[in-house]
Amino acid sequence: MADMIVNVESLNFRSAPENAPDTLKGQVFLGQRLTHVEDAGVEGWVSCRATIEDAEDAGFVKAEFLRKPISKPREALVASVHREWMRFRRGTGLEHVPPFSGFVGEMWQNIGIDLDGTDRDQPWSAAAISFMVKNAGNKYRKFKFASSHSKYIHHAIKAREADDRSVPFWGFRLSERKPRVGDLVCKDNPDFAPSVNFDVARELDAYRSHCDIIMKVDSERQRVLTIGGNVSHSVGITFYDLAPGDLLAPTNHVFALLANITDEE
Amino acid sequence: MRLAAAIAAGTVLAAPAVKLDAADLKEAARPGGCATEAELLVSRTEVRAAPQPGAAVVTVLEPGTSVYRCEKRGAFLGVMFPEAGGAADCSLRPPGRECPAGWTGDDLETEITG
Repeated sequence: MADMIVNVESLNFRSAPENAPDTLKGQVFLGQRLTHVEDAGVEGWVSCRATIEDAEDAGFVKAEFLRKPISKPREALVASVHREWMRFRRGTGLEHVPPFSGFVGEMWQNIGIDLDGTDRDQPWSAAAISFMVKNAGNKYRKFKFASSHSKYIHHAIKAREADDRSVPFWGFRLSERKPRVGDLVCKDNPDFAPSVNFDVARELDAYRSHCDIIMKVDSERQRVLTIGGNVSHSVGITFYDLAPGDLLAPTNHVFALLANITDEE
Repeated sequence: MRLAAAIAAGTVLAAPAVKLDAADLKEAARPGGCATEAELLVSRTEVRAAPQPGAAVVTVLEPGTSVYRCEKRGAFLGVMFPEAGGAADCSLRPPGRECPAGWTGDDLETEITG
């Protein structure tokens, strides 16, 4: 028996290994861990246990939509992101509506900023990333928790230059490394000066930008699926393009990959 | 006369009312071109009624206050900010409920968020 991770946005959880309306028990969601996964004796199906609406249950899912866990620290981050995404009702819980505004307030408090979540003009995406990374555990304690993405991007680039392996992320140019689950993808905000690329991010740590956490690398469809904060006023999904070779494409103002090095020697 | 009425089109400032002299009133102007996203103030900052050195200080903003950058006039920068205890939702407020505004030096120290 093994654990597996859900690798699609949502997946039907059934009472029997067949696609029939009366077998549907509920759904499991991207990043969710399923336990006791075993071959179900029917091609393409596995039996497993999962938490469905706050209660653990046994059932069956299609095996093709699962992936093996990568490493403990990466999966801890995936689990943290999954929790937050679920708390915001998978992108439908809006930032200014209780209880979600209170969740945004928690993110601000986590980085020591006295805002309560009703401050709709105060961009909170970096606070959200900081919150999710912090909740991923001790391996991430040296993250540059900040209210601005630019701070931790700069920190990750400089840490790599200094060969500092105590930090959880190193900054890479898009051409240097393939993205993986648990990495961060970062893009410029073109509505504000300066125009930012990797070289600018190496020098500066105060500019408008945005990062999301990679939850799935989809080579077949040439894209990565990410989750971040302040995405359509919630915690939600964004897709980024892959280039040939499965490197991140420099589209949509993407300029850096922050590679998760928590599982590297 | 309440300062808010003079400089903020009827909005109410958290700061105590101060008397404006004739020169202040002549120069009193609400800054335009304000950003739709706020930044966090880094240091204590005086806000004046008008973009001139002698203009009355209408309020003092504390570090951590959400401020919006507005137009620049000479050495002055227009700023908009929520009233004390108010939410930083100035870009979403309807006419008649605008956030207070005023003028600071153009070396305003803020921290970007997001």
